[in-house]
Amino acid sequence: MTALQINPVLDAFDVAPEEPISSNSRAKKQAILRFIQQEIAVLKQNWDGYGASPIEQKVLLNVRFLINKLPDLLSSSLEKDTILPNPNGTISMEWANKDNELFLEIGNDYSTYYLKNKGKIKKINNHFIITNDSEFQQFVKNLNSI
Amino acid sequence: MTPLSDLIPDILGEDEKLVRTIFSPFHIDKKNPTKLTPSAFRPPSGIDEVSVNRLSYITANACKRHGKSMNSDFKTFFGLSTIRYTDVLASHAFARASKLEENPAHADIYFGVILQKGEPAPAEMNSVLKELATKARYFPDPNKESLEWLGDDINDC
Repeated sequence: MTALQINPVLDAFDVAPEEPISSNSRAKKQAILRFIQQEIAVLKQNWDGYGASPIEQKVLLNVRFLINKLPDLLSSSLEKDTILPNPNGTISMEWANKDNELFLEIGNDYSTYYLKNKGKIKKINNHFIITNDSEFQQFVKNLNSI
Repeated sequence: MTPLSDLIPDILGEDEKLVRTIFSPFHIDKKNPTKLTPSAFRPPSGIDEVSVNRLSYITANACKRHGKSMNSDFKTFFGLSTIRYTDVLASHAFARASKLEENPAHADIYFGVILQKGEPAPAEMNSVLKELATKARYFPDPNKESLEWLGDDINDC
Protein backbone atom coordinates (compact mmCIF):
# COMPACT_ATOMS: atom_id res chain seq x y z
CA MET A 1 0.00 0.00 0.00
CA THR A 2 1.38 3.39 -0.90
CA ALA A 3 1.59 6.36 1.46
CA LEU A 4 -1.14 8.05 -0.58
CA GLN A 5 -3.48 5.18 0.19
CA ILE A 6 -2.57 5.18 3.88
CA ASN A 7 -3.27 8.85 4.39
CA PRO A 8 -4.22 10.62 1.18
CA VAL A 9 -5.14 13.88 2.85
CA LEU A 10 -1.89 14.32 4.75
CA ASP A 11 0.10 13.28 1.71
CA ALA A 12 -1.78 15.65 -0.54
CA PHE A 13 -0.84 18.58 1.65
CA ASP A 14 2.85 17.96 2.18
CA VAL A 15 4.70 20.97 0.83
CA ALA A 16 7.59 19.92 -1.36
CA PRO A 17 10.75 20.60 0.72
CA GLU A 18 12.87 21.57 -2.29
CA GLU A 19 10.65 24.51 -3.23
CA PRO A 20 12.79 27.64 -3.58
CA ILE A 21 10.61 30.03 -1.62
CA SER A 22 11.35 32.46 1.14
CA SER A 23 10.84 31.21 4.67
CA ASN A 24 8.10 33.74 5.35
CA SER A 25 6.12 32.89 2.24
CA ARG A 26 6.76 29.23 2.82
CA ALA A 27 5.40 29.49 6.34
CA LYS A 28 2.26 31.23 5.03
CA LYS A 29 1.78 28.62 2.32
CA GLN A 30 2.17 25.87 4.87
CA ALA A 31 -0.31 27.56 7.18
CA ILE A 32 -2.86 27.73 4.37
CA LEU A 33 -2.30 24.11 3.38
CA ARG A 34 -2.48 23.06 7.03
CA PHE A 35 -5.78 24.93 7.42
CA ILE A 36 -7.24 23.15 4.39
CA GLN A 37 -5.95 19.81 5.64
CA GLN A 38 -7.19 20.23 9.19
CA GLU A 39 -10.42 22.19 8.71
CA ILE A 40 -11.73 21.49 5.23
CA ALA A 41 -10.40 18.10 4.13
CA VAL A 42 -11.88 16.49 7.23
CA LEU A 43 -15.47 17.63 6.67
CA LYS A 44 -17.93 14.74 6.83
CA GLN A 45 -21.09 14.07 4.87
CA ASN A 46 -23.77 16.70 5.70
CA TRP A 47 -21.22 19.12 7.14
CA ASP A 48 -23.43 22.08 6.28
CA GLY A 49 -26.64 20.57 7.66
CA TYR A 50 -28.20 20.47 4.20
CA GLY A 51 -26.69 17.30 2.79
CA ALA A 52 -23.26 18.57 1.74
CA SER A 53 -20.70 16.08 0.42
CA PRO A 54 -17.15 15.78 1.77
CA ILE A 55 -14.53 17.58 -0.30
CA GLU A 56 -13.37 15.50 -3.27
CA GLN A 57 -9.83 14.10 -3.04
CA LYS A 58 -9.04 15.30 -6.56
CA VAL A 59 -10.13 18.80 -5.59
CA LEU A 60 -7.74 18.72 -2.63
CA LEU A 61 -4.89 17.67 -4.90
CA ASN A 62 -5.75 20.46 -7.35
CA VAL A 63 -5.80 23.00 -4.53
CA ARG A 64 -2.37 21.85 -3.35
CA PHE A 65 -1.05 22.05 -6.91
CA LEU A 66 -2.41 25.56 -7.37
CA ILE A 67 -1.15 26.96 -4.09
CA ASN A 68 2.30 25.51 -4.61
CA LYS A 69 2.48 26.73 -8.20
CA LEU A 70 1.34 30.28 -7.53
CA PRO A 71 4.04 32.92 -7.09
CA ASP A 72 4.86 33.27 -3.41
CA LEU A 73 3.34 36.68 -3.01
CA LEU A 74 -0.01 35.58 -4.44
CA SER A 75 -0.35 32.32 -2.57
CA SER A 76 0.72 33.85 0.72
CA SER A 77 -1.72 36.74 0.22
CA LEU A 78 -4.57 34.24 0.29
CA GLU A 79 -6.41 34.48 3.60
CA LYS A 80 -7.79 31.43 5.38
CA ASP A 81 -11.16 33.11 5.86
CA THR A 82 -11.67 33.32 2.11
CA ILE A 83 -11.07 29.62 1.47
CA LEU A 84 -14.47 27.97 1.51
CA PRO A 85 -15.70 24.41 1.14
CA ASN A 86 -18.73 23.97 -1.11
CA PRO A 87 -21.51 21.44 -0.57
CA ASN A 88 -20.80 19.56 -3.80
CA GLY A 89 -17.21 18.84 -2.81
CA THR A 90 -15.36 21.74 -4.43
CA ILE A 91 -13.36 24.55 -2.84
CA SER A 92 -13.63 28.30 -3.46
CA MET A 93 -10.99 30.97 -2.87
CA GLU A 94 -11.17 34.70 -3.08
CA TRP A 95 -8.61 37.47 -3.42
CA ALA A 96 -10.06 40.94 -2.94
CA ASN A 97 -9.25 44.54 -2.19
CA LYS A 98 -11.41 47.66 -2.09
CA ASP A 99 -12.27 47.73 -5.79
CA ASN A 100 -11.35 44.31 -7.14
CA GLU A 101 -12.08 40.68 -6.49
CA LEU A 102 -11.05 37.43 -8.06
CA PHE A 103 -13.25 34.48 -7.11
CA LEU A 104 -11.95 31.02 -7.98
CA GLU A 105 -13.67 27.65 -7.59
CA ILE A 106 -11.57 24.52 -7.92
CA GLY A 107 -13.22 21.35 -9.15
CA ASN A 108 -12.16 17.82 -10.01
CA ASP A 109 -11.51 18.27 -13.71
CA TYR A 110 -11.48 22.02 -14.19
CA SER A 111 -11.98 25.26 -12.32
CA THR A 112 -13.88 28.50 -12.85
CA TYR A 113 -13.18 32.08 -11.90
CA TYR A 114 -14.34 35.64 -12.37
CA LEU A 115 -12.54 38.94 -12.00
CA LYS A 116 -14.58 41.93 -10.89
CA ASN A 117 -13.72 45.61 -10.75
CA LYS A 118 -16.02 47.88 -8.74
CA GLY A 119 -18.71 45.22 -8.77
CA LYS A 120 -18.64 44.67 -12.54
CA ILE A 121 -17.44 41.41 -14.03
CA LYS A 122 -14.40 42.06 -16.21
CA LYS A 123 -13.24 38.53 -16.98
CA ILE A 124 -14.69 35.05 -16.76
CA ASN A 125 -13.16 31.64 -17.32
CA ASN A 126 -15.58 28.75 -16.98
CA HIS A 127 -13.12 26.05 -18.01
CA PHE A 128 -9.83 26.86 -16.36
CA ILE A 129 -7.37 23.96 -16.46
CA ILE A 130 -4.83 24.72 -13.75
CA THR A 131 -2.25 22.33 -15.22
CA ASN A 132 -2.30 24.17 -18.55
CA ASP A 133 0.65 26.57 -18.43
CA SER A 134 -0.76 29.28 -20.68
CA GLU A 135 -4.10 29.27 -18.85
CA PHE A 136 -2.29 29.33 -15.54
CA GLN A 137 -0.18 32.31 -16.60
CA GLN A 138 -3.33 34.13 -17.68
CA PHE A 139 -4.85 33.41 -14.28
CA VAL A 140 -1.74 34.76 -12.53
CA LYS A 141 -1.89 37.86 -14.74
CA ASN A 142 -5.51 38.42 -13.71
CA LEU A 143 -4.63 37.85 -10.08
CA ASN A 144 -1.77 40.31 -10.33
CA SER A 145 -4.14 42.93 -11.69
CA ILE A 146 -6.13 43.24 -8.49
CA MET B 1 -61.84 25.90 9.20
CA THR B 2 -59.54 26.95 6.39
CA PRO B 3 -56.19 25.16 6.57
CA LEU B 4 -53.28 27.52 7.34
CA SER B 5 -51.65 26.50 4.08
CA ASP B 6 -54.58 27.88 2.08
CA LEU B 7 -54.20 31.27 3.76
CA ILE B 8 -50.62 31.66 2.57
CA PRO B 9 -50.30 32.97 -0.98
CA ASP B 10 -48.57 30.77 -3.51
CA ILE B 11 -46.74 33.75 -4.98
CA LEU B 12 -44.05 35.59 -3.04
CA GLY B 13 -44.80 39.23 -2.41
CA GLU B 14 -42.31 41.97 -3.21
CA ASP B 15 -42.03 42.97 0.45
CA GLU B 16 -41.34 39.45 1.72
CA LYS B 17 -38.20 38.39 3.54
CA LEU B 18 -36.75 34.90 3.47
CA VAL B 19 -35.03 33.11 6.34
CA ARG B 20 -32.23 30.58 5.92
CA THR B 21 -31.15 28.51 8.89
CA ILE B 22 -27.39 28.40 9.40
CA PHE B 23 -25.74 25.20 10.62
CA SER B 24 -22.09 25.65 9.63
CA PRO B 25 -19.40 28.10 10.75
CA PHE B 26 -18.20 28.07 7.12
CA HIS B 27 -21.38 29.95 6.24
CA ILE B 28 -20.55 32.89 8.49
CA ASP B 29 -18.20 35.61 7.28
CA LYS B 30 -15.44 35.66 9.88
CA LYS B 31 -14.41 39.22 9.01
CA ASN B 32 -17.95 40.53 9.26
CA PRO B 33 -20.05 38.25 11.48
CA THR B 34 -23.33 39.89 10.41
CA LYS B 35 -22.69 38.57 6.89
CA LEU B 36 -22.70 35.18 5.23
CA THR B 37 -20.30 33.48 2.86
CA PRO B 38 -21.41 32.54 -0.67
CA SER B 39 -21.49 28.84 0.23
CA ALA B 40 -24.42 29.54 2.59
CA PHE B 41 -26.68 29.61 -0.47
CA ARG B 42 -25.04 26.78 -2.42
CA PRO B 43 -27.26 23.78 -3.13
CA PRO B 44 -25.81 20.30 -2.62
CA SER B 45 -25.00 18.21 -5.68
CA GLY B 46 -27.91 17.09 -7.81
CA ILE B 47 -30.39 19.88 -7.03
CA ASP B 48 -30.58 23.57 -7.90
CA GLU B 49 -32.33 25.00 -4.84
CA VAL B 50 -31.85 25.79 -1.17
CA SER B 51 -34.56 25.82 1.49
CA VAL B 52 -35.74 29.01 3.15
CA ASN B 53 -38.81 30.11 5.11
CA ARG B 54 -41.08 33.06 4.41
CA LEU B 55 -40.75 35.40 7.35
CA SER B 56 -44.26 36.81 6.85
CA TYR B 57 -45.69 33.41 7.77
CA ILE B 58 -43.33 32.02 10.38
CA THR B 59 -41.84 33.35 13.62
CA ALA B 60 -38.21 33.42 14.66
CA ASN B 61 -39.12 31.03 17.48
CA ALA B 62 -40.56 28.53 15.01
CA CYS B 63 -37.49 28.87 12.77
CA LYS B 64 -35.23 28.20 15.73
CA ARG B 65 -37.26 25.25 17.02
CA HIS B 66 -37.22 23.72 13.55
CA GLY B 67 -33.48 24.33 13.27
CA LYS B 68 -32.77 22.81 16.66
CA SER B 69 -34.96 19.81 15.86
CA MET B 70 -32.56 19.09 13.00
CA ASN B 71 -29.50 19.06 15.29
CA SER B 72 -27.41 15.92 15.07
CA ASP B 73 -23.79 14.84 15.58
CA PHE B 74 -22.88 16.66 12.37
CA LYS B 75 -25.41 19.45 12.51
CA THR B 76 -25.65 22.25 15.05
CA PHE B 77 -28.00 25.22 14.90
CA PHE B 78 -25.87 28.38 14.74
CA GLY B 79 -28.38 31.09 13.90
CA LEU B 80 -30.72 32.56 11.30
CA SER B 81 -30.11 34.67 8.24
CA THR B 82 -32.54 36.83 6.31
CA ILE B 83 -32.66 38.26 2.83
CA ARG B 84 -35.31 40.32 1.07
CA TYR B 85 -37.08 38.63 -1.84
CA THR B 86 -36.33 41.71 -3.96
CA ASP B 87 -32.61 41.30 -3.15
CA VAL B 88 -32.77 37.69 -4.33
CA LEU B 89 -34.15 38.90 -7.65
CA ALA B 90 -31.69 41.79 -7.82
CA SER B 91 -28.88 39.25 -7.39
CA HIS B 92 -30.19 37.37 -10.45
CA ALA B 93 -31.37 34.37 -8.42
CA PHE B 94 -34.98 33.24 -8.11
CA ALA B 95 -37.33 32.21 -5.32
CA ARG B 96 -40.65 30.42 -5.17
CA ALA B 97 -43.09 29.23 -2.55
CA SER B 98 -42.82 25.48 -1.96
CA LYS B 99 -45.25 24.73 0.85
CA LEU B 100 -44.72 21.56 2.78
CA GLU B 101 -47.48 19.81 4.69
CA GLU B 102 -45.59 20.33 7.95
CA ASN B 103 -44.34 23.79 7.00
CA PRO B 104 -46.52 25.93 4.72
CA ALA B 105 -44.04 28.82 5.03
CA HIS B 106 -41.38 26.84 3.18
CA ALA B 107 -39.87 28.32 0.02
CA ASP B 108 -36.81 27.79 -2.16
CA ILE B 109 -34.15 30.03 -3.59
CA TYR B 110 -33.10 28.49 -6.88
CA PHE B 111 -30.56 29.05 -9.62
CA GLY B 112 -31.40 26.93 -12.66
CA VAL B 113 -28.02 25.21 -12.45
CA ILE B 114 -27.59 21.66 -11.13
CA LEU B 115 -24.04 20.77 -10.12
CA GLN B 116 -22.61 17.32 -9.69
CA LYS B 117 -19.98 16.32 -7.11
CA GLY B 118 -16.66 17.96 -7.86
CA GLU B 119 -18.11 20.21 -10.56
CA PRO B 120 -17.36 23.90 -10.06
CA ALA B 121 -20.18 26.39 -10.46
CA PRO B 122 -20.06 28.65 -13.50
CA ALA B 123 -18.42 31.94 -12.57
CA GLU B 124 -21.71 33.75 -13.19
CA MET B 125 -23.41 31.60 -10.54
CA ASN B 126 -20.61 32.30 -8.07
CA SER B 127 -21.15 35.99 -8.70
CA VAL B 128 -24.86 35.54 -7.89
CA LEU B 129 -24.02 33.60 -4.70
CA LYS B 130 -21.61 36.33 -3.65
CA GLU B 131 -24.32 38.96 -4.19
CA LEU B 132 -26.77 36.97 -2.09
CA ALA B 133 -24.21 36.62 0.70
CA THR B 134 -23.52 40.34 0.61
CA LYS B 135 -27.19 41.27 0.77
CA ALA B 136 -28.24 38.75 3.43
CA ARG B 137 -27.88 39.46 7.13
CA TYR B 138 -26.81 36.89 9.68
CA PHE B 139 -28.25 36.80 13.19
CA PRO B 140 -26.23 34.60 15.57
CA ASP B 141 -28.13 32.65 18.20
CA PRO B 142 -26.96 34.06 21.55
CA ASN B 143 -28.51 31.25 23.60
CA LYS B 144 -28.32 27.87 21.94
CA GLU B 145 -29.89 26.07 24.92
CA SER B 146 -33.14 28.00 24.80
CA LEU B 147 -35.97 26.87 22.57
CA GLU B 148 -36.92 30.51 22.11
CA TRP B 149 -35.21 32.91 19.75
CA LEU B 150 -33.41 35.39 22.02
CA GLY B 151 -31.31 37.07 19.36
CA ASP B 152 -31.87 40.36 17.54
CA ASP B 153 -35.14 40.94 15.73
CA ILE B 154 -34.77 39.09 12.43
CA ASN B 155 -37.35 41.38 10.83
CA ASP B 156 -34.73 44.10 11.06
CA CYS B 157 -32.96 43.50 7.77
